[in-house]
Amino acid sequence: MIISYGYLQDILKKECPSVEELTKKFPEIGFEVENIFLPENNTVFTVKVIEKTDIPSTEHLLHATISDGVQTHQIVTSWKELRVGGVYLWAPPGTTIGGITLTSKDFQNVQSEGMLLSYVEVSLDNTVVSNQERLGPMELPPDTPIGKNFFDLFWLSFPTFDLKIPYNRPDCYSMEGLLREVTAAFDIHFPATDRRSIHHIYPPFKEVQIKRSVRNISFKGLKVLDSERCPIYLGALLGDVKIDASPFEIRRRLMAFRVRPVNNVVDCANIIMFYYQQPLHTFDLDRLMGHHIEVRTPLAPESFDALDGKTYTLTENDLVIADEVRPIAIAGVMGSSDSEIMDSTKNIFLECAYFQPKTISRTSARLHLVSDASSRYARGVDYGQLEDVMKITVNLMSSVCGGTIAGEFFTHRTTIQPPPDIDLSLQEFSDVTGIDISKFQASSILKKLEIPFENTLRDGLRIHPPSFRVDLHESVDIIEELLRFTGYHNIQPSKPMYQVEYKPEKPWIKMNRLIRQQMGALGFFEAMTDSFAKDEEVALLYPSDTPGLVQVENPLRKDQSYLTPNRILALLDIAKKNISKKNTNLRLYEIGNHYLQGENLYLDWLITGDTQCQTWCHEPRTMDFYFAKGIKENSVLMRYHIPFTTKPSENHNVFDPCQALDVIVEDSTIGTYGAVHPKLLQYFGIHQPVFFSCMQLNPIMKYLVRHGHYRPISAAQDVLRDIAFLVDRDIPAGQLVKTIQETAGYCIKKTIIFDLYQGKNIDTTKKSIAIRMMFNFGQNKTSEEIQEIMDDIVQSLHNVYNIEIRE
Amino acid sequence: MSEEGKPKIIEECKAKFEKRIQKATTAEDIEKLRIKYLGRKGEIRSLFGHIQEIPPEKRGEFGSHINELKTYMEQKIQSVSDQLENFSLDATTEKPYCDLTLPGVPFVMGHQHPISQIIDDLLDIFRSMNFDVVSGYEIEDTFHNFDALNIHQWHPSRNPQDTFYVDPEHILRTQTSAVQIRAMENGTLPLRIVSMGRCYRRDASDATHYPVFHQIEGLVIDKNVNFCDLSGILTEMMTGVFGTRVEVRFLPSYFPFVEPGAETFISCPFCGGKGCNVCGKAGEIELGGSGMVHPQVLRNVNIDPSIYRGFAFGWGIERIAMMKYQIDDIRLFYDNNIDFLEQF
Ligand SMILES: [Zn+2]
Repeated sequence: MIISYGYLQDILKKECPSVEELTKKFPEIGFEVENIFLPENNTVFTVKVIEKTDIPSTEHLLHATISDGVQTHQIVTSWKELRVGGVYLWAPPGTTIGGITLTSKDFQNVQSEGMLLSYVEVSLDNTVVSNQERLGPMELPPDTPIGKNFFDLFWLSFPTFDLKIPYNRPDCYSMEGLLREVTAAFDIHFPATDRRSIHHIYPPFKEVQIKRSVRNISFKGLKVLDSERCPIYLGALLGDVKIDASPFEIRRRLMAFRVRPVNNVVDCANIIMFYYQQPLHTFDLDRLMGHHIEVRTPLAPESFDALDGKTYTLTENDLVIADEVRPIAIAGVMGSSDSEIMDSTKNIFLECAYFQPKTISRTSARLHLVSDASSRYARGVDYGQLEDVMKITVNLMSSVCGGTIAGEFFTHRTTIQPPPDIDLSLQEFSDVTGIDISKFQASSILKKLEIPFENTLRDGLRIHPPSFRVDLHESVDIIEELLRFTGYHNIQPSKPMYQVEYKPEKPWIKMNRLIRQQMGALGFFEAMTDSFAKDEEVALLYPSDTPGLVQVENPLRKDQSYLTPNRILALLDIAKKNISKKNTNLRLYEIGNHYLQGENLYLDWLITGDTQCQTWCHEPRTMDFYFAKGIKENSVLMRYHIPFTTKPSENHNVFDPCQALDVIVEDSTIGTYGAVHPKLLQYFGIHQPVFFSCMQLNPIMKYLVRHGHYRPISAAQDVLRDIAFLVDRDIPAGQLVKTIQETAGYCIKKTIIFDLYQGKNIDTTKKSIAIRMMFNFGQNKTSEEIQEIMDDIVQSLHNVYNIEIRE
Repeated sequence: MSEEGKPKIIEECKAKFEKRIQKATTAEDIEKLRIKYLGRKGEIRSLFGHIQEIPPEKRGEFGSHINELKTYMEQKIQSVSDQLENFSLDATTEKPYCDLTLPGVPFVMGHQHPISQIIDDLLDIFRSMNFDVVSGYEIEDTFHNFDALNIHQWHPSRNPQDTFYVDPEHILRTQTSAVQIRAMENGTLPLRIVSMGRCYRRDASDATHYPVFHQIEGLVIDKNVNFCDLSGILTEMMTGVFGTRVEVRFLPSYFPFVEPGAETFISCPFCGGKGCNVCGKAGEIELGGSGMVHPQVLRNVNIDPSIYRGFAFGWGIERIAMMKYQIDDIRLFYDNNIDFLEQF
């Protein structure tokens, strides 16, 4: 809501608080100052054109004589549309406009003193000028005082506040409502009758000017077919109006509210809305078909050409104003282009109504169509002031547009149940806020806010919510009002009361914490990505008929409609960006959801590049599958003694078919790790191997919080034995180790494959493998006893795999 | 034979050895001593030569006495030679050159994302104040995200321009409040909870907006809590986050789920309220909404507002992190540039 300080001062006169006081006070009473438009401090004058003549030797220049009320001046201009008698803006020589200081110039023996200005040259926003003024000179109403500084005259030499009005305070979407708040906040005596005076919107108004006619127009009246959605509808007829530009007093108020001038009828309706909150609509009576106006729900889907040039389809959830043939307005939202006021309009039908807020907000939201009217109706207008506003409006229009008021108002009115009384106890106020208030304080705040109440309760007040305050439903609403005006600054911190009760760390928090610690220690940086995935990338991993893919109906980007089924997509994107910045050695992880058959929390990580950069004492080692395997198995899985098995993965869209393993815990696959498929890397433009792991976290959570049991440490010495042998190359090392472990039983502590060789000097069908075993027998054994166990192991290996021992 | 049963000849040998070793002062002396006693033609060897003179039944015992003496001498020589060696290391000045400025092996230590570090800080703070932490799903139904919070069906925030819809009844949560609604539905009273997590708003990304952000929300429901208690909790919380005492200030504001509702500010932790670049000379920083839980929200989850009251707050964690680290572009958090992540 735009509030011009100049206008405010014009209303409150000497009582008006200063700009600084208002800037501080507005937020304290709940109106955030979103912006303050600073004043213009230039000087340009209002002048009247007295005479204009073409300059014969030129095609487009003319010579005009202008008057500032005291003197006349000569100017040369190219604006052919200048009207004799019209009021324009004039910058005399010496004025600086757009960084250029004007001088007197000589155009073919005619002195040109200064220049007439367009809206751009006086830095006006194009939303406050008429369509004509956008192309030509700034033309002010003919009754504008001349010889005055334009900025002073139009209150532009004052700051303007742009206030954020809380959603539940539609009463403050108006000058009048904000005046009530301001006068209450500053204790200014300014009763409602003064505040609501028509003279604040049109000072020249005189009651005696009003003309009434009893002449009967063919219009018969009003049919409201849906009283639920339209509880109150008032209509009035104005005959013989003269459509023109608005006079000065209306134009400067439009400027103060930052509203575009249209014509005197529409401008008057707008001024009323911005001052009194109530939206109005005007129809050209002679363009309506039939003799009635109907307020009804649309008949099936009905198409409607609105003022904004767009066509909307209306449904049975909406409400329309219609003549006997077609809708002429979407009720409370927007009128039609073929019933709007035109220059030729003579007779008008004026609407002043109360529509059900729910209906208007629903329609406005569905059509994505928000107007000044709809945003007020949707929040709830003051149905108590409709007659009053109607009277003010017809008086204003009759006074400004010269019409006569024809007959009585058309009235449809159903009883609106007034909101129930609210009983507030002062104890409740202090219970909720932690501060105290006296009955006197409370009463005086409510009085200032014009909220009626009875002092009939022992410990409180009985409040009768007024029709303009749609936000007052229960006692907390009153508490907020009292707190707002005693001041939120009175809320002082109390010492928090601690409950003495042990609360264990939640398992999922502990899991997150432990995993993050481990990943950090392993050299991983945590990444955070948004959860959206490009359609094209998802298609690389999952056929579109994959069950359980989750799509967003209204993505920000059309080609990015999926919630990510696998965060590898985002991690590869990050890897690519980092690699392009020469950060080629990466270890990244993320804890986040995969969206496939619902949402599942995963730990994802990615490694690529060298394990360390090359240094004076270190050769770099490129990360490979076994490095990834080491991280995978030794970190979370083995660290928390999670019993797991692996099997070659079938996920060949993400992973290289030769180098990927599924991890199985309790018979279900909880994740996969391995080399990322070269095709996927190619798609992302990554030219170095990348290894990726994903693992669901919920299945492993219970292992992370389990307390293990202590296993006694053996006093006996560990015993090391090495064994080297030839074996068929296709026999997996894992099986050999397994056989060794099964043969040796409990006493084997560790096995390390410390050499693996295929090639020269060895049969091509064989490989040489060397395994170091660490035993602990729980007691010291002689070399002969140890040798017996070694013999058993060799025998088993020989029996199963036909190995050949090497010396 | 001596009284202790050790042959006299062995005792004498040991006594002489003791005298000599006390006089040894150089490595050379020690080496001479070693050769004299333990060498191939040394005293120990010659003691074994006397074994024929011993009656056969006592020869075993005699032999083990010599072995004992040998072990003793070996140890003694070793320990004296170690002492001499240490002494001479300290004394000599010549050492091999070692360039201590060469860098060590560059182990990479990773760590958490700045946002998750702030989350951890907040978890610590709220655990210390005895809050429970609750979590929930990111795909939420419209009842829990909106209706239960008193956000009516046609409220602009439900507009598909502002909220991501998965289907007409499900959205990507715009706040973690839904989690709190569930806690109120399920939980036993009183309740002291915080929820944190990823939320979504349909904002095109720029320096201050991103479609994903993290939120922390707190909720206390009890018989006897008021606005001043909210102020107390927030003061402790933000003092904890910034590590310096801050003051909390409220301005009235409207949120459908709190009444009275407030916009919350803290005194700028960087300038203490004097005005600096971080706070834009305002001396205070806006954090977000808070207030007393609207009685309708309590009724929506079958809590009797005439018995219980509550307060709540909900702020963006990115905003806190941006203040704390003076980051001016929210997108940096989601670019995951290593050069950025390394700094925290
Ligand atoms: Zn500051």
